[in-house]
Amino acid sequence: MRQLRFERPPLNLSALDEQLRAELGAAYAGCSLTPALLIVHLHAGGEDDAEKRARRVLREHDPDRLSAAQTRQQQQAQALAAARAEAGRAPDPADYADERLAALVRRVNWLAAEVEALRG
Amino acid sequence: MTVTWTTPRTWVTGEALLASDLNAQVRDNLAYLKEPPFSLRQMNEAADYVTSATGMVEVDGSNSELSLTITTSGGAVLVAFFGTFSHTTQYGRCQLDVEVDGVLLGGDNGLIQGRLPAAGSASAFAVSFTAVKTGLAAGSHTFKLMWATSGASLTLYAGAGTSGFDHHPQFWVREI
Repeated sequence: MRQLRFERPPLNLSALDEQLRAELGAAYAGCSLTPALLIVHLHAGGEDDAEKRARRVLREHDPDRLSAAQTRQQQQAQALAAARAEAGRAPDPADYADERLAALVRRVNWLAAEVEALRG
Repeated sequence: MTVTWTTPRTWVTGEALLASDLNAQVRDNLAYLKEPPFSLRQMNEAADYVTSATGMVEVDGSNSELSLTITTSGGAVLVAFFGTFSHTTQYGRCQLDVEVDGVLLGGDNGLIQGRLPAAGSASAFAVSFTAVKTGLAAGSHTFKLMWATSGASLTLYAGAGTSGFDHHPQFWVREI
């Protein structure tokens, strides 16, 4: 395994990892951050220009740009927040004349409270 | 004074008991057994460690903070580590191994694996192991903590002041 070492720059490791993986394919083995350095791991015997391409990816890396996975996570969080806002206040069992519906509402409210407690 | 181990002598009837023999056989060997070769690293770093490597790489490949060298007398060596990890994806893997003089102790997927139950620091998870390396000849031996993950990024909290996760992992080796 070959290693390229750089002073630890400001970066988004998930996005950089995604970019290096896309650029280098099988030659790329991952990257690591230590307190001092960014280390790019390349498989031995990879393409000769892998090092040059890795350096170019790092030069062009924008730490503010999210990876696909981060974008997905952000979208999921936004969708969840919107769903919570839309759900509004908990339904009041007193609004339901049918005792079976009122019991169902009490149960739904209890489950919602349990989920809330689990979320911390 | 560095105390060294002396192979216990088989005494014979009528043999003269010399101070030098008593010192080597009793005093020094007892001192050696009380404090065998030992090296410890407790982490208190300026930043946490992160990796996306899918094959085993050194946790600290920069200045070998997690590379410990001891000079042994040919006994087995106990290797221990504990630390707190998080992963950016749910069920992300944390695989750990130890490289002894350039050879992985576990090999394959390592000595141990933790799978982080949810993404992010909310599911920070402790992973620890104690392992024994046998068959080492007397002499200097180097032990390096290694790790790998399943992609995305795995973090080892290293006493870097991360809010709520300012944990201090330990990595140590000791001849037994």
